[in-house]
Amino acid sequence: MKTMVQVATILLFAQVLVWIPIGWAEDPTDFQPRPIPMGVSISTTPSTPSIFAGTGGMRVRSLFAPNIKFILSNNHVMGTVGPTLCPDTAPMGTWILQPGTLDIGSDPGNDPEFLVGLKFQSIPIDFTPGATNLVDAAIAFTIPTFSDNTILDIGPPTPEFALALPGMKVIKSGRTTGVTEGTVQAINTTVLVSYDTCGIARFVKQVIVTPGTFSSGGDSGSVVLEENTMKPVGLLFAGGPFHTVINHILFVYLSLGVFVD
Amino acid sequence: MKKRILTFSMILGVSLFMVSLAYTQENIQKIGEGVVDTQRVEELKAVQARHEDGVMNIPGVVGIGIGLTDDGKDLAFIVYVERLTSAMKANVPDSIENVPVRLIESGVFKAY
Repeated sequence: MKTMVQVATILLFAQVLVWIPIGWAEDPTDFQPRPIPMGVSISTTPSTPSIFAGTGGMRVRSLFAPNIKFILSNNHVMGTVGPTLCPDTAPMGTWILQPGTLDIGSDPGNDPEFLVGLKFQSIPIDFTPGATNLVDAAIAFTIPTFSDNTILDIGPPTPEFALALPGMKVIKSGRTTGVTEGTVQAINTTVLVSYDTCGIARFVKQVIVTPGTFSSGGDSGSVVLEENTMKPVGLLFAGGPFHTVINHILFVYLSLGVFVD
Repeated sequence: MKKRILTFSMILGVSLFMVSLAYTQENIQKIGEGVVDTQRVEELKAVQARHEDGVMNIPGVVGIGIGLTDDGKDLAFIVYVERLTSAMKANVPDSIENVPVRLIESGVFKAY
């Protein structure tokens, strides 16, 4: 009887030890202590009259000035401001907030409490039919006191990137669905992507990932990595009920002149 | 002075491109081993380029790319369609230049 009580006590203690870290697991939609990890909720301000959120994908550095750090995400996350929230509407210097206005619950405007970066550059999206867009990407200037190079629940990405091939196992950490695993279904894909009222854009050389649970609205901007090696494969930006569309990470690096930090 | 900057940035651009190519090559070999024939992928890219516009012009088609056949043993073209109807099956060819075509219902792709 005495030993049973002892065993029960030990088991209870072990359970508590296991539960503490699970209970402390970070929610990507929460306000994060600075420096914030990547893979968490961000948005621009002003987003009024709407509120929205995307994901800060990873920290990158300029190829031309390695000390200058940026947060990498989508044009339709960091390159947009209200009222339209269409890509390329945010001027340089637009404030990037963490968490995004959707997760704050309202647009606080330029409130230093939430500031993590300033929009620097976005690659314009061409909405004309037959256009050959490669990336939906933008970078925001940041400093190491605001943001870290680790991705929430994944860790830092490797400097080498991986070339997506059909059947490749991939992983991502994003604002809405957290860490999820998927499989590359198609590469070199030419695809039409709807940007609500802004238009429909044609993208080329995209990668399609399944299943539908791999991502959802708000995961845009997440970096997709090869599962075994943690090498970046792509930048998540769109999806349907059964698929996720990601940009080839090489085109993201080259079009913005950045590299993994 | 302007000319110098221009030359410098051109050299930088070319060398960056070469470095990226080197990375790509390395990765192709590593991932390609026993998984996907990367040589064949390149051939299929050329075929895709020739027929892409024709397929994309079919109403309801939202994408075309290179993937695997149903059994996963060979490469195939994957055509994404908004809704997989019998009319759609009739409109999209079963194969393009002897490469099998897989029709997959995807709904509409939305930036999110």
